[in-house]
Amino acid sequence: MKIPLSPTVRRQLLSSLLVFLAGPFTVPGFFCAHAAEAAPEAFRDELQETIREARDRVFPALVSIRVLTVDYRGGREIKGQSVGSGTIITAEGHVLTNQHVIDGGRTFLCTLSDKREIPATLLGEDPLTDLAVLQLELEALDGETVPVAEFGSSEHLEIGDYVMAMGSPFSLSRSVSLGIVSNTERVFAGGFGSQELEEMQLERGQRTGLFTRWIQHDAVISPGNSGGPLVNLAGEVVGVNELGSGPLGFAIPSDLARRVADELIEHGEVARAWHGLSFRPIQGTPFDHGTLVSSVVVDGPAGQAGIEAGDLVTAIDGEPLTLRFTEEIPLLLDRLANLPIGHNTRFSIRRGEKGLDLEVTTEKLEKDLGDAASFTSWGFTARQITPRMARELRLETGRGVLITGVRRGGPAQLAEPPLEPGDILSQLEQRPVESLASLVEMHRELEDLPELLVGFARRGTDHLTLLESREDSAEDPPRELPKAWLGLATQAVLPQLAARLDGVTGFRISRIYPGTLAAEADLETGDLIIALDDEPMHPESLQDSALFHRRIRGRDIGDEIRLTVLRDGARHEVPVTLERTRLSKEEARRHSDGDFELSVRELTFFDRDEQQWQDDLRGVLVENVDPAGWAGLAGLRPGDLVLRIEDQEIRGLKSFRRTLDEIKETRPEQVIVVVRRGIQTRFHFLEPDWSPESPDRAHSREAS
Amino acid sequence: MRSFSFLRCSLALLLLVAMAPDPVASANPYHQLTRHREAMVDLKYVLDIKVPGLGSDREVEGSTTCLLIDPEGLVLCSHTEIGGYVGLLQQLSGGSSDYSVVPRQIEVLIGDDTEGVPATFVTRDRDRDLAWLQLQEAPAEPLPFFDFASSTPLAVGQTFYRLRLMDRFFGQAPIVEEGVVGAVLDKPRRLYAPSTPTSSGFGTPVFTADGRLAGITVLQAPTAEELASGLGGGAAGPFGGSERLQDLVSGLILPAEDVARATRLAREVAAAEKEGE
Repeated sequence: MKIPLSPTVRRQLLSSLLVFLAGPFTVPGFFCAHAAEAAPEAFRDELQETIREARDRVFPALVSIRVLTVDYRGGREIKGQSVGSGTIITAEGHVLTNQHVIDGGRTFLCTLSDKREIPATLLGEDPLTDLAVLQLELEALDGETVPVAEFGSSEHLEIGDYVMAMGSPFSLSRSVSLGIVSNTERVFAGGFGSQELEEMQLERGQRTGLFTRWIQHDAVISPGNSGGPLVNLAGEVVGVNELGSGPLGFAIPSDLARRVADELIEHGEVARAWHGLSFRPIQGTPFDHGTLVSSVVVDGPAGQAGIEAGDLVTAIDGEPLTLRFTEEIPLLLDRLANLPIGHNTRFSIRRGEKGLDLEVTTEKLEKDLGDAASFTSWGFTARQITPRMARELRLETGRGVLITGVRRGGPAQLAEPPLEPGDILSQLEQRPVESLASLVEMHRELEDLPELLVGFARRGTDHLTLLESREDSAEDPPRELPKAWLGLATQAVLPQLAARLDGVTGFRISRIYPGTLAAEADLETGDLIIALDDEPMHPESLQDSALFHRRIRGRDIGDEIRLTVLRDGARHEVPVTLERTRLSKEEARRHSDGDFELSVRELTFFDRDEQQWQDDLRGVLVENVDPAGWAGLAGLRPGDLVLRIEDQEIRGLKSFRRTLDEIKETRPEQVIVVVRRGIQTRFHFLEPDWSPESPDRAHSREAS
Repeated sequence: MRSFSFLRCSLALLLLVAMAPDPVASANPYHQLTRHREAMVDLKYVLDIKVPGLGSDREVEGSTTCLLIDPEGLVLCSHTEIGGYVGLLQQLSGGSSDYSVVPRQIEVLIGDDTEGVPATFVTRDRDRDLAWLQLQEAPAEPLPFFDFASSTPLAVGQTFYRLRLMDRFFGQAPIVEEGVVGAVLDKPRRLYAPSTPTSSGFGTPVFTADGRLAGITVLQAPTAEELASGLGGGAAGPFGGSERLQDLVSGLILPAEDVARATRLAREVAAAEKEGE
């Protein structure tokens, strides 16, 4: 449900949505036909009143959430944006939403129902249920209280009950849709006929939904609704919308969501017990009671206790157990996860003819994926190895860090042998790398070394390599050897076309660039060039279309040439002086700014000509903008010509660099940038965030 | 005085002996040409490629063989080999012309050197498919080099010899390849077309049988404007059949005289840049 804020996509989706919303009004007499029937009208009025009341109990507590995210891929840090929805669930300003909405979030901004935007911080997240709690920064409200929505019990929901989905579909804030409950215990089986639960994963590979039986409904939800409330007609939050496709919406039941939210508010995490086994129901087996163990983690608690895949569990802690259907599995997993960590759970087992009682000592269920960080100067990204990752990677220990990406052309990729994604970084300068935190610490210490000795493991074998520190200074693009040039655009007039004209092939002048020596010569648009210093210029096919300019480039700068042209059927000999080639777009010098996250380049003669900008217009052209960066968030786009920043006129790269340096010194809260976009002159407000990172994520930032 | 003259005479004699052709080597261009190996260098670089619409920028590591063309460390390469191919691909695919390819971290490995000497991109000539680079630090001793000012033209049917270095897997052994000039072209410029097409070895020197420098192997690709024609197109496809496509990606020999002319301009650019510093 997380969507990147692509303006194009958003516009497309918006247009399709508008068509949908306009639908009922295009049917003549739609309301009249219904109004004729008194009973339905009364029912409708009553229903509308109920909906309004229910809406008003939750709607004020609805928030739209905008998140600036950071991902670590391909050896570099990648910023992005996501949008989602949430509900204020306490007077202290706790907002309940989906974990996938805030995943990788660095900055959180919540729009309240009264349209005010206030920042928030992440209080806790629980990827296994895809839930998270944000803390609104209430100081921004100057003592005002926030509206709070009440939870209802999802246990009481029935199929057919009316429910409303509230949220920000496609980031369109404060939207409501109505539907009915389609199923109250939806689970996703592994495949057709499968009795096992499908393992669901979030975007980055984290498992989720282990304990969830979703409320399926048909209130329309779309990307951006994620984390928003599902509301009953009593105006209570009975679910948290998480997934959806067309008329199929799926919400996490409020009973589960409330329990998780309470844990996150109180402890910042949900501590769960781990047994290391999974189950399947007995349906389709010869058994009439118990549940089957479908898998056991070999060195997990259950595996160590001797439980095997295929065992029939008949009781847990003396309490008889029977799981007939897949829908019952999440309840059992939830029950086991809620046992205390370190608890000795007694499993009564039937294995063949034997009956066994095995005691499993629970361990803490750790999160699947470790934190990640980018080590730009070394050219790789890395992730902390969690116990689960260590098992899946078949590592003997969880020591070291996993290389998740290597930047092409960076030191890690240029090393011999190069580092590769999947390598386990184990040593730096012959000192062990125990964890991501220790790597971050070592990075601070060793970053300036010209050569870094790296020890790593690849598929069970140990290797050494050297990472050479490389000057990452930006170079200017190569410049073309100065050549002769004539400020003309030409079109090859080939025999077939020539037959309809004067019967002569040649190069027709299609444009004379103003401000060039060609413009000073006695040439006119429409002239047909038939010879250059008496060398015939007769193109035979389109492959010859650049022949004239190639011949010009073969001459020397400053050469006086004579063009023979046909004009209105008459031959003219036109002397012209060749000048030096103008700077091409490709050759233009560039500058990238990491703080404002944009790159600009020199304005060239050809840019001016294309845009038909005056000769005296000065500035730098925006070439690339990080959509989640300061410039991108302010609405700057590739192709914008930056004319002014604050009160400084930008005449070229030099003044652009100088102005940004001055801004970085003074660190203003807002920066005004004036740009030329096509025929418009526009101004944009940039709001730089000069503040340091929050402590829990600081390591990633510092390493990158 | 007399002893000094004697010494001079002895040195001159020694020099003459040293320069005298080895009867085996002079008869065999393979022996003769591999002596030029010292003037062939390995170039390593990283390309920063920015192409609108491709998403994130790309960085690509590369290496190629180039030629020392003066004793001070001016280096000549095929532009195609150090990023020019990106422009060609853009043209072939009809992509945007607003792309940028910037070589950086350029290092020249001379002889058996494994460390590399930093070099600066001086200028390029896309028409000729040439690029000039300059070692950032002047060499302690004059370097061996190819002298394009002293050259000879080729003619149709004439045998030529191309010198290139094999892969590092084979110890970068110098290898001499023999070919015959199949055509002398005047469009888009004066070029020698080998009778057997090859799509490798751009930037390698070409010699006559008597060991005189005749040119350098280059790629001559049409501009976007010239490609817009479809190159024959029709039922044979956008390139008018495989033979024509092969023409576009085959190595041609740029006459040494043309290389020398362009190099004179490149030297002026290098001098101007130096003055600018």
